[in-house]
Amino acid sequence: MNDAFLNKWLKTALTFGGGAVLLVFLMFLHINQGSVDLSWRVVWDALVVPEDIIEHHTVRYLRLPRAVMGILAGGSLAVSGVILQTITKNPLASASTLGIHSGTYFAVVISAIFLPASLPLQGLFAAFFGGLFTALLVYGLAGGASANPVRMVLAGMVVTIMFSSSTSVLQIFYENETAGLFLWGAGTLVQNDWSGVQFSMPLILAGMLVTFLLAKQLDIFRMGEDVAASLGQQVGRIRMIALLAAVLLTAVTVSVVGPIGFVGLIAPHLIKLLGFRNHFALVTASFIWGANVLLGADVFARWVDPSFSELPVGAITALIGAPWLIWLVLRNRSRQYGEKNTAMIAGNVRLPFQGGWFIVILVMLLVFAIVVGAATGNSGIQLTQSFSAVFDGGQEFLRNMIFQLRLPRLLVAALSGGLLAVSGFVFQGVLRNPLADPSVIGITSGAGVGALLVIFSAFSATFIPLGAFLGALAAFLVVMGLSYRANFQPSLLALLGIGVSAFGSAIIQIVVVQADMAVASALTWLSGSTYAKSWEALLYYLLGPMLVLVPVLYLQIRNLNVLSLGDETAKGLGMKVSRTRFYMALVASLLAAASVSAVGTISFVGLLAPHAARILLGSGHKHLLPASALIGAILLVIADILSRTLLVPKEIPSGILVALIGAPYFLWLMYRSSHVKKA
Amino acid sequence: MKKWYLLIIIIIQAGLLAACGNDADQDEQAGQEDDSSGSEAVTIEDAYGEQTFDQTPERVVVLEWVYAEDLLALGIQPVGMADMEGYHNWVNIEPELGKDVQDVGTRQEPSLEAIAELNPDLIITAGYRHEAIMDSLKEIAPTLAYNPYPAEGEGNQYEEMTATFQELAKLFGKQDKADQVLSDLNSTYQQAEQEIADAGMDDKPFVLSQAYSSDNSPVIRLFKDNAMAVQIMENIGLENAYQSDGFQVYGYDETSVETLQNFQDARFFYIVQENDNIFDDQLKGNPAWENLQFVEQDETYRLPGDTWTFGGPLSAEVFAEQIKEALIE
Repeated sequence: MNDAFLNKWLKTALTFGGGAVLLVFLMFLHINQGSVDLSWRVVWDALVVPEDIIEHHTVRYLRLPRAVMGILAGGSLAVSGVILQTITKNPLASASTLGIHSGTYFAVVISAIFLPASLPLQGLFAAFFGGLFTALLVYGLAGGASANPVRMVLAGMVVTIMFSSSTSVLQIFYENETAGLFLWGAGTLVQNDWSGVQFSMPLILAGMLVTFLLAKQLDIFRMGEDVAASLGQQVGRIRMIALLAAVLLTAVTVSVVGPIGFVGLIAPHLIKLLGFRNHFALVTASFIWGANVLLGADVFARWVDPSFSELPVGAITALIGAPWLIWLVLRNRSRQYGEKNTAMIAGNVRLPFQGGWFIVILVMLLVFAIVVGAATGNSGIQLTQSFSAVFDGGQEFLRNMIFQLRLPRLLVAALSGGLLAVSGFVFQGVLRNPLADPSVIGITSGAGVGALLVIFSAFSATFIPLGAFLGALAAFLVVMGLSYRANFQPSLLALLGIGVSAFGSAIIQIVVVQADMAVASALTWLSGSTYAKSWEALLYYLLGPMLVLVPVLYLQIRNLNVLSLGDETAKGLGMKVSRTRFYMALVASLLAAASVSAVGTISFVGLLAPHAARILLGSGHKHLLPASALIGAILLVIADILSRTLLVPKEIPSGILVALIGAPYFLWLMYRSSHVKKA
Repeated sequence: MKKWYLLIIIIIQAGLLAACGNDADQDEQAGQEDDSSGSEAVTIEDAYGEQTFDQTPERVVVLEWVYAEDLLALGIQPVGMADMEGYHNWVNIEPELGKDVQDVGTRQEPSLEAIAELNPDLIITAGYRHEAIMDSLKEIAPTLAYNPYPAEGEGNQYEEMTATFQELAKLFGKQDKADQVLSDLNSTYQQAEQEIADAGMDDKPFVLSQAYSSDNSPVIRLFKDNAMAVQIMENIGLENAYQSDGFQVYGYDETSVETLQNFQDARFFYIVQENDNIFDDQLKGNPAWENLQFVEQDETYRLPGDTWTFGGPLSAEVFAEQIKEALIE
């Protein structure tokens, strides 16, 4: 008993005392870093016996605020993570996984562009409302209190895609206004005086105070809402207050230092692993260790990049945090992340005619869209002129335009849309996860890394697609390698995909910020675009995979149907589940990689098209695969037409358009499915 | 499904055939026009090698501001140009763009259709932006691509700017005009140098910065020796105090106010926007800024917000004048 007591005492001492000592040590390291060499002696004097000299001011007004801000930000992000994890009963909840960061970032970018600057608190208010709105959105979409963790994280991810593509649109069109926001968007602790601290400190203290006052209730909350309610708690009100406190803590930090991911995930888990359960201790210890993580990441970032051109600390924390997420997922693989609850009833519209006819109609629609697209351009729709240009040999010039510029783009759009849709269809079936698509599996971000490596290496831009293809494949193999340990369990696979995806995005951010060159062109590529696609793109990247892989898939469609019945049934039918799952996923990845190498990272087509097909045909229909492909093709063809005609002569990357059209629809779908189930 | 594949293959084949046919037609047309003009063939060099032009281009589309400026300096109006709104916001030179110049979209993704519709006989662009679509551009018209930001060891931005300007002049047979522009520029430099020396303001080196706030925190760009703006300032007899390790292709480091204390005995030039003056808004009252020697001795010089540090010869002239005025005020 004495030993146990000693152990506990030691653990507590190390957690709090040790954490505090480490924090002081990191802080001292931190304020010794800078673009001017100051001796330890000077730094010490500046702190203890300050004089009116520039070296001491540097320490006291430039370096110290940054260190203090790092502590405040890391601490409050961690505390907000604790609260979010408790009230959502979700071990994976944090400001970044729930999409709050993307929402705050979006709101700040909006206010930077459209509102007059110089309102002192503008950034904060924008960040706060953006964050609050996103938190409520994700929470509501995932089904509120009854949501399972995976569903909530996936909802957070969809919302993140939606806000980040909106942010990309703004960044592309307001290149100059948002130039400075890119670094901030990756999270940076740069402070030039105490104003950031002065502004955030009282609000963070207020948020902490509320959290401490709620600590007892949160303890009870953890045991379940029924228990809490039976103990006389007003569950709804406490949840709301706690959520507000968490959002306040996040929004205040984001408005000062930008979105910094994963601190809110790592720190609380560290503390929970040590065995602390009561919220008073949990919150305090998380604050200390969150501060340590962030300050440590900043020390590390500045040590790695001594030129002090600001390696984004947010990307560093994601780089550290993503493997941590993966580790957590694998460690808890015995625990079910709500596996049974992932099927989505999206509703169903029975068609008044046979599925076969539906395919014919879709083909006609696609051909119609392509014809209209070929006849539509800079000067509007010119159907008759185009017809005569093509068939009567009149108007040489227009004919050139149609065959050299419009048609290749349209066909590239159609084919990549089709391939993405098929890929998404297969992933959804294989993983039995309605929210699966190539970007969830990490393929898209892997492709981004591959492409960026080509852009920033000495290779010519013509190798970008190859880089993207290889990157996508590499990401797929990593996710599969990791999921091997989890027996390719569907929801774990999706979570591992998110982890790998975040890791890739962190690398992308670091490369983009570090490389300076052509940030805008990289952003454009990453957002996906059918811009200026030529016949070569079609022939080199798309035609082969379509002619070879899609027929292969078509022959395997039975396997997909069996898999969707569930692992047990599939095993009962004599299927080698893991192997089949791997091969099907490999084919789907190859299709997605082919599409990514042709048009960049276009999300949502893979997610949306199969759902639309299912709604229209019913979920067990044999024509689902071709229907998905055709819907995907039509979707991207329309996006292509809009992208080059909406703002003539400006181009809007079609990937962004798809996300802007697709995301709200998809969120509605999610919302609806959560309500169907409750009813 | 099979029908669908077939259809696409047919469409593709039709497209390819048509594509080949069109190329032939274009060549024919070019051949016919040839004898109407008597000028000699000119061979000039761009970032990718040499290109020969049989006749002087007349319909030029420019996809990067600096080359539009080069054309204007030579007395040529382009027929099309990318991001004209941005150009008007940043570039302040005489002569101005003509009223009938067409906008062809963003500099990042200019509309190929809009370019083709102008039926140009030359496209000028920056290689680093459009490497991936160079083939498409060349299908529309002969395309010249230059790189305004030379890599390490390939000279500075100023040398590149004048070299490209002279190459373009050669293409249009306007070498005389180009020499005139450059010698005017040199006399502007000499005069500015003289006036600055007369005012006794050439006694200290300078630091040139462009600053803006990134959300709450100020970001300060400090220009390095390979930047065009620094070269121009050295041409009027000033010396850059800011030195740092490493090469930066755009010619500036992004840094924080801390770095400035290494260069305290210089004159501090800064470009800020009216509504985003970080030195007034964020740094005022901060001892780490106020106690810098050049702040205490009132040796900071503000340049107008739309000062353009990346342009051609005429922008260089404007910039030199702006520096002179800031110093002599």
